[in-house]
Amino acid sequence: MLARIRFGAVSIFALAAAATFPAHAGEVTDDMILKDAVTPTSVLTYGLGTQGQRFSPLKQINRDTVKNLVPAWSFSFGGEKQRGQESQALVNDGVVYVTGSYSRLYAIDAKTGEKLWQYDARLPEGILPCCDVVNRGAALWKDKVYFATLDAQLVALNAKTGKPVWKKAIDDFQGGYSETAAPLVVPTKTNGTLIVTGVSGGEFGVVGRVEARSAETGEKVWVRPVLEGMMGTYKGQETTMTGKVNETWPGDMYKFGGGATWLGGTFDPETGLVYFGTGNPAPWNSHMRPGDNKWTSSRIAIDPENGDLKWGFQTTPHDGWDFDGVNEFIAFDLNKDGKTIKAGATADRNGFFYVLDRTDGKFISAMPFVSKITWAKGIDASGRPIYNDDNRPGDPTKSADGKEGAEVFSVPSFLGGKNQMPMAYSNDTHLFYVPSNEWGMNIHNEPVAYKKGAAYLGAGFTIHTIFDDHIGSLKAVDPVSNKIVWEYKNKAPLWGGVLATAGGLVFAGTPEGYLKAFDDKTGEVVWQFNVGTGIVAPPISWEQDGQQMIGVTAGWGGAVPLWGGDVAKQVKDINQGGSFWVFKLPQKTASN
Amino acid sequence: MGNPHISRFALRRRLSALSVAALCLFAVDTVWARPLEAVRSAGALRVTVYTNYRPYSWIEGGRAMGIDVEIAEALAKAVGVNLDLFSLRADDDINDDLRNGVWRGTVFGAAPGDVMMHVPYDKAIEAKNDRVALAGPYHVDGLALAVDPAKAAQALDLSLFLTEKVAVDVGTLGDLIMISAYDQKTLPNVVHFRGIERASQAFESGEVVAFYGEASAVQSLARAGARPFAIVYPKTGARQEWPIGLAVRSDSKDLGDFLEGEMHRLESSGELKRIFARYGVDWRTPDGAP
Repeated sequence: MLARIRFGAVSIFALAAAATFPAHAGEVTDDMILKDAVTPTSVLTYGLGTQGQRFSPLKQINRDTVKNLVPAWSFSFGGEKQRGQESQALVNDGVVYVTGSYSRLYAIDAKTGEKLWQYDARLPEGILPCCDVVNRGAALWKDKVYFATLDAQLVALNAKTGKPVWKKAIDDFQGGYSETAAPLVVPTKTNGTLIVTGVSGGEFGVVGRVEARSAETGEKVWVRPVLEGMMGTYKGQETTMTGKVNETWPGDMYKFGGGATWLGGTFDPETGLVYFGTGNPAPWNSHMRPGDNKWTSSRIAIDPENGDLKWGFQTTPHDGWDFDGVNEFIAFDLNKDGKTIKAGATADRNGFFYVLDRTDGKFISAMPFVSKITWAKGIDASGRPIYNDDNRPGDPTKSADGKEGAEVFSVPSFLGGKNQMPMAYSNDTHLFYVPSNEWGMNIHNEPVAYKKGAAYLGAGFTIHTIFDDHIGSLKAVDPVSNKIVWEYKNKAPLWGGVLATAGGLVFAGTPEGYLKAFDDKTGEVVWQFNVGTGIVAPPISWEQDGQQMIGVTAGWGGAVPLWGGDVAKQVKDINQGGSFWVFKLPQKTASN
Repeated sequence: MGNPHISRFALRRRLSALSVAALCLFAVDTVWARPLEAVRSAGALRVTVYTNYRPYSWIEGGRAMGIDVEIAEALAKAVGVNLDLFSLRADDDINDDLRNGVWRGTVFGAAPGDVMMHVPYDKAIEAKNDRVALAGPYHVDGLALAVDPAKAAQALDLSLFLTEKVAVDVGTLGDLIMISAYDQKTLPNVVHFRGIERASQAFESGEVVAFYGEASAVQSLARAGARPFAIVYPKTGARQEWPIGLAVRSDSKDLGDFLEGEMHRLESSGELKRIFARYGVDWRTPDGAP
C-alpha cells in the first residue's frame, strides 16, 4: 500500500514537470523531425530524414570493425501470414516501431527485442490489393505512431500503448483503393503539423492525388490531384486546378487517368516543398490517350502550406511501358562548376537517373543506370526522352482479328530499372547508391483476354533476364560526372533498399537472405549475414546506449514472385518469413 | 427459387469451415479423387460469383441477387447440399480470378469455391491455367448498344458518335472500341463512368443518346429503365461474343461433369431461359459456340 502511494506521488510529479515543457518526455517534436537526419539516437522518418537521403552519421561500425558485426536480437512477426516485408523501421526513445505484412504494427524494446505491443488492423473481407499485402513503414509525431492499411485507412495509435486514437479513410477499398506507403510528417506555418499521404491501387480503380491531414486530429486540410484538369481543395473548398483541361489528355479520360502516388513522398525543409512521384497513366494502352498525360509518370512538388502544385517534371511523357514515376526524389546539394545547386535526384523505372533543380523542377542531367535500354535513345537537353517509336507496344484494337500482333522486347521491364526499394546518398562520398535490376520484357497484344467474365483487349507482359549471371545490380552513381563508380552484381533481383553510413559502408539486403555491407568507395563486400529469408526492406542504423545498431526487416515477397515471369520461377524456392533483425558489435570490440 | 438471405451466408461459411476440418480426418486420396463425394459429405457447395456484377451477381437489401446466384442455387440443390456463396472481387484478369476463386483462394485466407460461375468457356484459359477445368457453358454474351430508337440506324456503324454522346464503363472492351472508332474521332463524345449502371443512368437522364457494354447488362438495364430504346449490335471488328460457363479444379472433373449434366437439364427444361428472362436478358444457347 505504501509503495502504491509513493508511486502515485511520483506520477503526479512527472505529469506536472511535463506540463511545463512543450512535449512529454519521449515525444517527437517538429524540431526532432526536421533534425532526424543528423540525430543518431533515433530514426523518426521514412528515409532517415524527411529529405530521404538514408545516410547515418554513425561510424562505430566502419570498414575496419564491420567484420565483427553480430546479431543482437531478432523479433518474429508471428501469425500464420507472412508474404513480403518491405517495411523500414523507426526508433524513438528506446522503442523500435516496425510494420509487417497484412497491416500489422509492432512496438519492440530496442535494447532487448522484447515485444511491447502489437496492433493488427482488422481488414475487411473482399479487399484485393494489387501487388502483395505489404506495408513500407510508419510515421511518428508527438505521442502518436501512424500507419496506413491495405483497406486504405490511415490509423493513428498511441505510441506507448498501441491503442487507436483516430482512424480516417483515405478512400474506399471497394473502389480498388489501398495504401502501403509510410506517411510523411510535415510541419507547416499555417496549419500546424500535417500528415501527408498518397493513394495506391489497381489501374482503373485509382486516380492519383496527394493529401494532407492534421497530424493531431486527422482532419483533412488539402488535396492535390495529380492529373491535369482536376481541382485541388483546401479545407473542403475548391482552390486551383492541376494544369488545364485537355491540354495533355483527350476527352474526359483525365478523370480516370491513373497516376497513383503509391510510394509516398519526401519533404525538403530548405525549399519548403513536398515531393511525390506519380504512377503510370490509364488505360495502359497508350494509343488510347494521345498526349503527354500529365502529371502521370512524373515527379511533382507541392507547397504543404496550401496544397498548390509548384512544379512537375515528367520522366516518361505518354508512357506506354508501365513505367511508374513513383520513385523517391531525394534532395541533395550538387557541387558542380564551383557552384552549389539545390538539387534533387531520382532513379526512374524507365532506367534513367535524373538530377533536377529542386526549387523549380528544371532539368539538370540524366544518365542511364541500367544496360541496354531499348525504349529511348537517350534524354534530350530539355529532359524529354528521345523515343524509339518502334519499341512502343502496339495498339491492340488494331489486331482485333484475333492475331497476337508483333512482339516487342523492351528494357527495362515494367518492374523497372528501379522499383520501390529506396536508394541512399552519402554525405561523405557524394555518391548515390542505387539498387537496380537488369531485365527486360516481351510485350504482345492479347486479343483473347478476359476481365471480370468478359472479353477485353489486353497485353501480355513477360519478364526475361538480360544477363546469365545476374539481375540485381547495386550501383554507386556520381551525380556530378554522371558516371557509375562501382557495381555489385546479384543473381536475384534487388528489392530491398539501401543505407549509407559515415563509417564508409553501404548496407543492402538480397532475396537470397543476405544483409551485406559494402565498402562505399569500391563496392567490395566486407561483411554479410544470412537472415534465413529474403530481404526486401531498407536497413536502418541508430545509436542505442552508446552502441551503433543496424536493423533490417526480413521476409521474402512483394511484386517479383507475383509478376516476375521467368524471374519468378528462379526465385520460387526462397522461403517466406517475417522478422526484424538487429546487429551490433560485441561490447569488447565496440570499446576498442 | 427465392433468394438466399445474406445472414444465411455467415452461417454457411461457418458450416463450410467445419466441414474443411472434417475433411482432414479422411484419407487424402479418397477425398481428392472424388470431389463430388467431398462436396456431398461437406453438405455445402461453395460457389464463387463476382462481386457487384449486375445482372449476374450482386447484393441488394442484404440479399444476393442475380442470374449466376439463381443458377448456383439450382446446382447446389441438384447436388443435394446447401449453397455457400463466395463473392469475389474481380482482379486484373481471368487468370488472377481463377487463382483466387477456384484453385488457391485469396491471400487473405478465403477458401476458393468448389466451382466458379461466369468463366468464359475458352480452351485457351485451360491451356494457361493447368489447375482449372472448364465445364457446363450456359450462355453466350457479347457487346450491345442501347440507343435512342430514332438514331438506331446511324448507331450500327458507330458513325452516330462522331456527333452524339455515348456512355461506357471505363476500362472495358466496349470503352476501348468506342474511343478507337474512326481513328479516335469519336473519343471526345465518349463519356466514362465507373460501372455500366451509371452509364445507363446517363442514358436515362438524357445526358447521352446511347450506352454500350456487355449485352446482358445493357439489355437488363435498358429494359428496367423508362426511356425508350433500341438494342443494336454494332459491327466493330472486335470479337463480338464469348460463351460463359463454369470452372472447377482440374482434379475435380467429376464435379464438373455432374454440374455440366445438371446445366443441360436446366437448359432442356427451359429453366435457364426463365432465369435469364427474370433479369431482362435474352438467353442464348452456347450450343455450337466456338
